[in-house]
Amino acid sequence: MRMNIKIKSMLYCGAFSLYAAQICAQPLPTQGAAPVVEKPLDVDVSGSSNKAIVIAVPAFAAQNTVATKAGSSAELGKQIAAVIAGDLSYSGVFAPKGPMGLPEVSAAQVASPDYSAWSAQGASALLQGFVRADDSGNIVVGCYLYDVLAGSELRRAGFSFVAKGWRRAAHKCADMAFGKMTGEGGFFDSRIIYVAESGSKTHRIKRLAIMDSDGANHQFLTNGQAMVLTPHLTPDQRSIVYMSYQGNRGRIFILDLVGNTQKLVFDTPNLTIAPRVSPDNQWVLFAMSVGGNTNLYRISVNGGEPQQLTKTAGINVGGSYSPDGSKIAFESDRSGSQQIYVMNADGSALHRISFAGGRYATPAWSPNGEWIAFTKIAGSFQIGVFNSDGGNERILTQSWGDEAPNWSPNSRYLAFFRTQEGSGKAQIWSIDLTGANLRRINTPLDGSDPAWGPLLP
Amino acid sequence: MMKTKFIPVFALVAVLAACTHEPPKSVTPPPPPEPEAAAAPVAPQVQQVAIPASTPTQAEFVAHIVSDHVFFAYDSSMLDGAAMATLDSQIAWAQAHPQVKFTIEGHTDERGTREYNLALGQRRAVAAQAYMVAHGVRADRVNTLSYGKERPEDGGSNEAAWAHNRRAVSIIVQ
Repeated sequence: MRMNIKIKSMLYCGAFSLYAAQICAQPLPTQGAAPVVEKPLDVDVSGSSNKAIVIAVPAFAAQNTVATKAGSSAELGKQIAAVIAGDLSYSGVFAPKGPMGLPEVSAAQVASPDYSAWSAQGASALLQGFVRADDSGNIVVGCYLYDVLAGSELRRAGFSFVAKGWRRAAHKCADMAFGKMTGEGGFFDSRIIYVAESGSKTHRIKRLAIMDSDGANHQFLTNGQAMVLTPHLTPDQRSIVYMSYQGNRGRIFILDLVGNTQKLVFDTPNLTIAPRVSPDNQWVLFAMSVGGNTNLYRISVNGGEPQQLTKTAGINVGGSYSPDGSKIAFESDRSGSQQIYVMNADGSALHRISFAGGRYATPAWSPNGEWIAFTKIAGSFQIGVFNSDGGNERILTQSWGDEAPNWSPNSRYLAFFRTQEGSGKAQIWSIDLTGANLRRINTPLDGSDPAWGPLLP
Repeated sequence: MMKTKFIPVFALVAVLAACTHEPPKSVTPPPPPEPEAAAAPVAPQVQQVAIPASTPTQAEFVAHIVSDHVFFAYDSSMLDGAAMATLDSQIAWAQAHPQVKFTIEGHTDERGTREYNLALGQRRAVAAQAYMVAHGVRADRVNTLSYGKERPEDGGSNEAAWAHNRRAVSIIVQ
């Protein structure tokens, strides 16, 4: 039983190009002990009242202290545990302890924890592991999750990264723990693309930036000479679609992250905005204004002629594909004010789904297909979700300026931006689907239009 | 509707102006030329109208029109009487400067979502563009672009600031 799960979690071994980091899940030495029946801790993630699980995250053991390109392996062991603890704390599901203040774990203890000692620390779960450098200079991280109360191992996994990709190994460990304990997918090993903002309110500079889900490895992708808006990672994570004012026109571009080349999607004098890429990476969905009316179109990522999907007077914008690509949610003011509609991907079978009063904008279909998140304008600016048919509406946040929710890859968190009254400063925040765990995602400058990429392979 | 009666008059004025090589007429009478203090006396000469080699500046444009801004109600792209009067003055100037091209930039206040506001700003720019074209300005002389809520002119978060920021601005293309 456990072996099967372990093998499944270690199947992937391939190259991921952005950091030029070789990621390769590695088999770990199996434990000699008898198979343990898996019994997950009782974790309630459905409401905001659940108590966070106290999980101990001691420094990862260095089998022997050696220099790596990311520092000494012993130091790396502490940093990896700190990143994991930071991730788990962010999730709101866990209350991590450590690595500071916890006893050191030897390499020999990694696979055979002293449960009673960890229980005495007040921990009900334990995530520990080892780090070592292999012959090629890569870093191998082994990650072990234990149920301290039951005295049993829950899961283990190993990851090999180039040295500078060590944070990703930590995120993979955190994802393993999050996934095992909640029964949901992980999300820490992912990236967020957003618009970095600086300057005064009347002369804001807006440029593309990308970062890890925890804000690390932050990188500006454009220099700010041309304003950019509404970036989205393509589902294959190779590129970013976004709107840019370069050339003093408002048009859509694709930035290839691998080749670092930029391509105009559709050359037109008309304003083109709100780009998204279909789940199969074949179409760019966007909105184009012709004669004052804005309608949705799609165009092949390879170019050609766009195909018009909506044909009404008014504003149709903000398309969002369902995860299977068969449907598109979007907003339209055809009824007089912004409301959310759903249609088939070819524009057929269009119907309105928001009826609860107020304006509804910026629909975002969840990666698991169940929900559509939106901005609701009803006095304040609110972030909410409803079922993909518009039912079961729940408002999660509200402020003077909350806007543009975007899903974490496990459909459990929403990133959005909150603009301050007066100053116009915007920052990126996230909220749990339950409405709990509102957190700021720190960025070096101000930020808006966060778009969460898929879980990295 | 009333405006359509008046516009041919402006157009006619513009045509006359062009035929007679007189300085362009504008809606508000231009101030009389100021004497140059230090100018040496010169013999009277035949007056010539210089064809400017360079495009007029935005400041020159603004000096001869009601305003380069027109304003809109909340979530609206309707031109009211004041907006049409402003555009009429721009049209008159445009007719007198047929070499000049314009970009009309549409803007919104900050009380809306980003993508919707880009489309709304465009609708405003197009409303102004359509009015100019309907009243005689060649369509290929007037481009549009929307900045939505991204470029407020008044940084306040109050009704007066929002009213000012809901605008379409005619910019001379240099």
